[in-house]
Amino acid sequence: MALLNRSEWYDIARDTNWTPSYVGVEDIFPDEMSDAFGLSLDQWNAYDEPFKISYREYVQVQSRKDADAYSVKAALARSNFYDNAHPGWQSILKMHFGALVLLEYNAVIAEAKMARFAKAPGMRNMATFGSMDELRHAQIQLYFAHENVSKSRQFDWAIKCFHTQNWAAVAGRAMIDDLCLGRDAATMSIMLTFALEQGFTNLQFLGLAADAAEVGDYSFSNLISSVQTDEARHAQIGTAALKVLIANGKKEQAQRAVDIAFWRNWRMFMTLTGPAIDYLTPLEKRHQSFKEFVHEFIVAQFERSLEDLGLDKPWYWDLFLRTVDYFHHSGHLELWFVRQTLFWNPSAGVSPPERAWLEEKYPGWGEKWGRMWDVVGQNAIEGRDDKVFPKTFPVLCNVCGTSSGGIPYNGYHQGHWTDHGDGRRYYFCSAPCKWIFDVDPKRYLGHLSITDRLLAGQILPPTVEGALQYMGIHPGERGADADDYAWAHQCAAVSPSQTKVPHGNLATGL
Amino acid sequence: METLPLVCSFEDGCILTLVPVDVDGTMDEVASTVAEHFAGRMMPLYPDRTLRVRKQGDEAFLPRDLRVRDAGWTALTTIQLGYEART
Repeated sequence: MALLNRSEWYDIARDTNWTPSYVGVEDIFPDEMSDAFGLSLDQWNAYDEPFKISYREYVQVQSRKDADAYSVKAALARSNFYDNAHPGWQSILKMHFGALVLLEYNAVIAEAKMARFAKAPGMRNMATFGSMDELRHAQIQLYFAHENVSKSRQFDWAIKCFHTQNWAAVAGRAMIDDLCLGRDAATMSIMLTFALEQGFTNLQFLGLAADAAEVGDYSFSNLISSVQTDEARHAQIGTAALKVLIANGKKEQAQRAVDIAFWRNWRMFMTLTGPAIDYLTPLEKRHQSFKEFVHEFIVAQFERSLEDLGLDKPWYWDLFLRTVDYFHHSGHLELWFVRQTLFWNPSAGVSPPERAWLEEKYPGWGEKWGRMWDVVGQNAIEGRDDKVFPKTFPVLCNVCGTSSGGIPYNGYHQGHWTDHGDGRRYYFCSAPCKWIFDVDPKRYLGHLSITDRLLAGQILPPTVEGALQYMGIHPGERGADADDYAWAHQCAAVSPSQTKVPHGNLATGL
Repeated sequence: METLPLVCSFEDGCILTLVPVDVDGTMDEVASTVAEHFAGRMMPLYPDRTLRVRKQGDEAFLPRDLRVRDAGWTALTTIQLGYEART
């Protein structure tokens, strides 16, 4: 018997929107779980997913992808790539697996929530496959990461990171809970699949894959490229939802959801992926700068996506474009200072040739961040451990959970805070994070960053060591300078006068 | 010693840091305490220049002998350190 073409049966097979008679529609699709925009089932019936797939096709395609990824890994198993890899690249692997793998499990739940509660049959169908995609991403990346557990305690820690009170895990959990788990299906489709997956995952999975291939880590490159092919499919869920929402007069609310999620994602990618690309990747293997990646994969593509949908650029777009030049440089400096809280070893990434590269990619870098690294380098050379580790805590944003970052030697002002009348003062890294808070304060009132926990007396003793114990990160797991300060000695050798900056003795100098 | 946690920045810097200061201290003592987390660590320290304290967003520095408990600050007030202009 001849099989029907998919197009002849697909719409019937995915449509379960019959008229309920035993319970009300509002019981099956409560707004708080399904659709904060309040569209009817009829309006959502117009949802037309651009990427259609059947279970049979899905299994065939995914099976091939898995076979490819695992066979490359098996073929390279004896290459000892990790053992011989640049320390910066080893750190990128720890960062990637620690920061993303368990978030993929959360994405499983988010997609499953859309599969159950979305009012549009097409969205439920796509999200069902999306949930299976995310399960694959979590498990295949855990499997790939696991082989390195025996090689470094930091890899072991990376995999348990999201079960700890590490500041980065706290921020990551808060973000994924806010955008992907604690919203209704329609809003999640915008925040997770449109803003995060369509907006940003190309940067992590294609940009990083290009760098991975450059450094010869073909196993990792192949793995994350394989993951991204799934993302590209289920990222379409939100685009189709936005079309329905805009067609039914919900552009303003949809735009707000885009604006919230884009900025939250940008802060997280800026904090982790920015330093990875511009400072941790071995210089001779860098494919592009973070700024160039952002302009190629985010600015150009996302602007086009917004325009195609009839949406506006987020209200803070000009600020976003400016921050591409500086946020991650300040963030990297601060990450390096708090390296004991990290489960990877950050490369300072500021040896003389690396500085030249940074100056070429970010004109003026040397006069701003370079001057700061001069001071840090001199302290490192002189063995001033009291100067190259923090004695206190950075102030973390009460929305995104990352530190604020300005431009050095620019009269840094940070005026984004609010007193909400509950006895707490809330700080924000930027105007957009303050705006996100102001849109819906109750979402964020109860959340405590590590800094807030210190002030609340939850971290005892209230010292840096007390905080490290609270985070559960112990000697042998804590991050250290990846190059053992070799960069500082190289700088001093090339330009001794450059590093002779006044750093005095505060105890007697003031 | 009773302390007050302040959110501190440095005019040449790029980050915010939490620093507890003695409520009985003067602004000069606040400057010294807070500077230890910035100057000579990420930014050069110029011992021959005077560091002053101002409230975030203000142009004018606070009087050097003003005490913290008289400044009207609450926990997490934001201050900024800067070098006094040479005359």
